[in-house]
Amino acid sequence: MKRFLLFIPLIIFVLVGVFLYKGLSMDPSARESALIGKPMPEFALPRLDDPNRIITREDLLGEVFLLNVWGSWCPSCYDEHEEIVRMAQAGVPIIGLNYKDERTKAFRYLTQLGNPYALVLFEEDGLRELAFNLGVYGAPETFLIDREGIVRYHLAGVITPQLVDQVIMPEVQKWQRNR
Amino acid sequence: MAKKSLMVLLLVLFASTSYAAIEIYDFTDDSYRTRYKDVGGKLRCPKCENQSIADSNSPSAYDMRQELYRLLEEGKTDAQIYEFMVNRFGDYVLYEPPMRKDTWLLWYLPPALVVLGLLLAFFLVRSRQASPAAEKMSVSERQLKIQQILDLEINSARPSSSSNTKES
Repeated sequence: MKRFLLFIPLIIFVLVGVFLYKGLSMDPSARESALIGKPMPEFALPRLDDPNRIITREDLLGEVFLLNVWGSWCPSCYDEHEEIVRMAQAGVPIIGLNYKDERTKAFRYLTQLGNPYALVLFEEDGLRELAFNLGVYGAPETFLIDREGIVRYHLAGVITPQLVDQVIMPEVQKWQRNR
Repeated sequence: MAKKSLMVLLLVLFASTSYAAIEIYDFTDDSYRTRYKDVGGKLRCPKCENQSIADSNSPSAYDMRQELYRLLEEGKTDAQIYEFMVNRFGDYVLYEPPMRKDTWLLWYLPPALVVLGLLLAFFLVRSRQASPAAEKMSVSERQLKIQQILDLEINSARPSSSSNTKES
C-alpha cells in the first residue's frame, strides 16, 4: 500500500504528459463555429454588381450552397480561388460574401481571377450585417448552408484540394441527399 | 547638425504611436464606460489567441468593441452581452469559461490536485514521524544501538584498510 503511494507522482506526471503531448499536435486556431446546427442569420445586403438589388436570407434558400467570405485584401483568398472555381464547375452553388473590401477592388479581383460565384453579396466595411453575426473573424471563411438555411459545416482558413475532395464535396453531397 | 538629426530620429521613432487608432466612444452613462473596460477585458479576441478585444487592434476585435458599445448603450446586461458574443464566436471568446458538465474537469482538476498533493504530503510526513522503532527505545538502548552500528562499521572497514597497506 505504501509502495503504491510512492507511484502517485509518476502517475500524475504521465497523465499531464499525455495531455500536453496531445496539445502539441492540436491547432489552436481550428475550432468549431458556434453557428453549426443553427439557422443562418437574417440579413439584407446589396449585390456587388448592383447596389440597388438587395438580397435577403430567403432569396438564397431552397438548395444547398456554400457561402465563401473573401476580400481582395486577403492573400489566402487568392490561394483558394482555384478550388472555388473547381467546385463551381462541379455544380456547387457558391455565394460570395465580399468582406471589408471596396467595390472597385473587388471587381478587379473577379475580372482578374474569374468569377465562380453565383452571386456576390457586398458588405461595406463597418456594416456588421451578416459576417459578424456568422462569427466571421477573418477571411477566407466558408460555410455550408442546407436547404432549410441551417449552417452545417464551417471552415476558417484556406480551402485546399484535399479539403475539397475529402471533406467539402462529401459534405455538400450528404446534405443534398438529405431531403 | 547633430541636434537636427537627433530631432529627425526622435520624430521617426515616435511616428508610429501617432498613427495608432484612437477610438472615441460617447457613453450616455458613466457606468457604461467602466463596464466597457471590464467586459472588453474579459472577451478574448477571436483572431489573436492571447489578447482581449480591449488590447487587440485586429479588425475583428474592433468590430466586437463596436458591438459591445452598441449593446451597452441599448441597456443590455453583462450576461446578455457575453451570450451575444458566445452565440457568434463560441465559448472561445470567454476568458472565464462557463461552468458546465463538459468543463468541470477544467474547473475542478487543479484544486483537486492541490488537495491530493497536500494529503500526500501529510501522510508521508506522519508515517515518517511514526517510525515505531525509534519511538520505543530509551536513551540507553539507543546508545547501545549506536555503539553496535559503529563497531560493525569499524570491523567491516578493517580488512579493506589492511589490504590497502599490503599493496602499498
